[in-house]
Amino acid sequence: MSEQETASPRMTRLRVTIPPLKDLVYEQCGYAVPATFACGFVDLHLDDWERAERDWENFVALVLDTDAVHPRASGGVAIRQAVEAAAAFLVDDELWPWCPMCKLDADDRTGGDR
Amino acid sequence: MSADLVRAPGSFRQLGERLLGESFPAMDAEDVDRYLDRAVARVHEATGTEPLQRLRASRAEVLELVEIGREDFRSAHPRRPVAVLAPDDVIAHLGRRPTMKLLARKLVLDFADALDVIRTLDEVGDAAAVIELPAAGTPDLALSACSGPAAARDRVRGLAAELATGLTAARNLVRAVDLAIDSAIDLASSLRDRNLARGLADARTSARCLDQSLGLDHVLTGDLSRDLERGRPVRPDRPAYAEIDRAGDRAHLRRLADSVVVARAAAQEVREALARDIARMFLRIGRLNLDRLDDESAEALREAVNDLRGADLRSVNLVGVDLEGVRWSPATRWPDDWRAQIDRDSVLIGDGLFEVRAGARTAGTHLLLAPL
Ligand SMILES: [Zn+2]
Repeated sequence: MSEQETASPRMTRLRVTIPPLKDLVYEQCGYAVPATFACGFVDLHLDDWERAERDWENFVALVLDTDAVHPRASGGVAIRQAVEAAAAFLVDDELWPWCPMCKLDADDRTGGDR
Repeated sequence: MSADLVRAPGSFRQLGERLLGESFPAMDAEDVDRYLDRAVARVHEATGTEPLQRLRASRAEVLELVEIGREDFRSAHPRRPVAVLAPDDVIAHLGRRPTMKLLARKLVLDFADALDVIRTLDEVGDAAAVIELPAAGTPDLALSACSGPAAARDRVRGLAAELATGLTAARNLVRAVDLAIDSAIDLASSLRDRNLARGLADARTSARCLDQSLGLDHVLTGDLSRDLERGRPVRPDRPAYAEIDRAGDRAHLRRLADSVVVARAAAQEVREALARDIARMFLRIGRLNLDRLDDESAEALREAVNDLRGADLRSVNLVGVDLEGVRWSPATRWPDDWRAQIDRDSVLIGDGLFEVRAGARTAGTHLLLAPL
């Protein structure tokens, strides 16, 4: 994670409203995220919850500045699109769970779960 | 400032490509492309945005391509079968991952509360079903006391006494029901379900109306007994006797039974929603068998999430987390800045075992964090 990636003006302003992972656990959380997402992501970072939260926010912030968010969307709508896109991007049939921010090796992870 | 007004979004696809490349250097370009196709379709599905414009294909075509890609991927990487978990597996998983306990805590405790509410309502329903309202009507008794032969008076006196005893018994049961509903309301308040709260409140109102109405009848029946006892003239048209309202008692009892049924249905819905949420939490390790989530396993889960003996919680953000009932040992590692408060809020309950007292709550509610 390089410095310029986290310092976008759009992001610093909006960052405060990125929902924390624990808000995404409930079915009725208001965001269409895959069921496995929040817990899988926290689980993946298990010994470091704060890091999971930070990686999540940083990743959403990156997605916020892409065309996964409608060009005219702003505020809560933009955040929701970014949150949903970020989770949808990660929860893949074959690779999930993984974290683009901490580059963990996929095999180590699945091995450590037994 | 002006740079912020004109938004020039980067490409989601390019971002994804870069991140996949960094995380999985061994992944070949074709697999990366397939991943991105799938991801872009998922994003489109989830948000309705079109980060796929660059593909110059209709959504249906893209989805078809993605499906083909997915099939290829599946044949190359057969899926592992999904484990079916029993509650014990979840408890074992939590045992290995103590920080997960703090994440699962509110759900598990709410779930156990919901089961308690259902159990209480079942008891209340059973009790309401056995409340027997004495059948004989007091005005009828008064009538036969004054119009029947003198010899019938003794028999009527006996009936009036029986009626009074029956009313007392019914009243005691109704009071027990009222208390049980009270405890269900306490439990349910943490579940914050409007239907459940309304059902319970109705049940309590009906129980209290029934109690009052039985109480009034009891007083009036007592008056009749005393009048008979003392040989006073008994007149069936005496207003007080006419007020003995057995039909009203029955109506209250029916309403009580109905609202217990309503509350129970609401509690059952809460239970099912929470069970689904718990199952979702552990989807990553397998599919939780919801049928096995019974009273006993809920109790075991409740104990598991409260047991933080020896857990290393230094990395956990405790802001806004309700820790009431958590048990910990000197080996438990708390975040440094919480240590003093946890010490202050805990009591020694056994050999090297501490429990966080009722009402203790980590302070400083953070705007970002809903209570766990
Ligand atoms: Zn990470």
